[in-house]
Amino acid sequence: MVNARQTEFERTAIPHLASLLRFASRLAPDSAAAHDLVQETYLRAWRAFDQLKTDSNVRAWLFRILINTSYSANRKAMPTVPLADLAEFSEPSRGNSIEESLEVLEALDALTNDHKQVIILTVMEGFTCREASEILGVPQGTVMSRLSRAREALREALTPRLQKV
Amino acid sequence: MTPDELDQKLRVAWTAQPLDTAGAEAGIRLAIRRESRRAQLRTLAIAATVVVAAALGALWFLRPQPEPKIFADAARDHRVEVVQGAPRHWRTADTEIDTLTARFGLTRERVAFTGYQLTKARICLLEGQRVLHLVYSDGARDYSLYLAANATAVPNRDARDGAQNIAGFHSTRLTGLVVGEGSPSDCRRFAQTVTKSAGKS
Repeated sequence: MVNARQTEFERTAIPHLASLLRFASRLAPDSAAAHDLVQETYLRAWRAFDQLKTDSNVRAWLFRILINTSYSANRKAMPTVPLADLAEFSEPSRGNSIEESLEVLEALDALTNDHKQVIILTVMEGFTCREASEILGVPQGTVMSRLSRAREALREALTPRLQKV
Repeated sequence: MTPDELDQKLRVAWTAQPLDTAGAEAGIRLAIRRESRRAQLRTLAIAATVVVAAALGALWFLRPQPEPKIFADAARDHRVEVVQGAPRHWRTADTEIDTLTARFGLTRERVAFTGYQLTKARICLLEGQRVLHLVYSDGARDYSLYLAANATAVPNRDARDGAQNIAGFHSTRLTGLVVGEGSPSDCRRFAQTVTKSAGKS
């Protein structure tokens, strides 16, 4: 029987599943491990749901749990969900071809784990630097410097690649 | 490539990733239901353990207490010496009775029981301890009152041994037993009377 607590949890937490799954897929070694990581994240969130304040940022809270879960599971920073299967990628929109998207994700996977997390949280997931610093548990200045270095590394990696594509 | 162009390419590549959200969502919902069920079972198990522990505690607390040996000794003494009238060296004269009660710091008045006459007294042994044995009678029924120093452990409890009812009591000065064939409530009333009057310093 589904109780009110469970209904409320699913209402507030499940909508962020896609974001978490994308993030996990760049942290976990394969798709199954990414699913496991996300499932474990949701279970931990479910157990701690009563402690969550009503005005909390649920999405940031879930990302923080996911990162802690990935650390505690001692997962490798090395990605990734295999990028080889082009057919599984969504049809390009707003400019990128499938090949371009693969190149971008490969370049992303080549970053250090710290840089990758900052780029994903701020650029892809739209968290502010302050929110990212809270999620990652590092000072805001560290987030900003990592973001700058990550952007630079991506630009260096992608400029020659994308010219070929 | 400008920073905005780079961010745009990153976002597009990000959202183009293949995702099985439906499968993941089903797995999560199932895992949460299982977790909820486990938590409910845990709660039930804890509640059941508490109930069982409480029941065992209550049973232990309410278990029948074995009667102290002194109760049986007093009942047998009353039966043999008072009911069956075994020959004993009783003090029957008022002066002799007063002398004996005085040894326990008492007077005849302080151990009186309305409707009954203090007829005889002697020192006897119960469980190896010297006690003052006073016998009361209304002509039809006899009661024995055993008084000892306070060191003797006599619980404030009623008991029955054969035809005899027994009421144990203790006060700040004296401990004692009332034994007789009267009702348990009469024995207890007698014990309370003595506790009130003889138990005071």
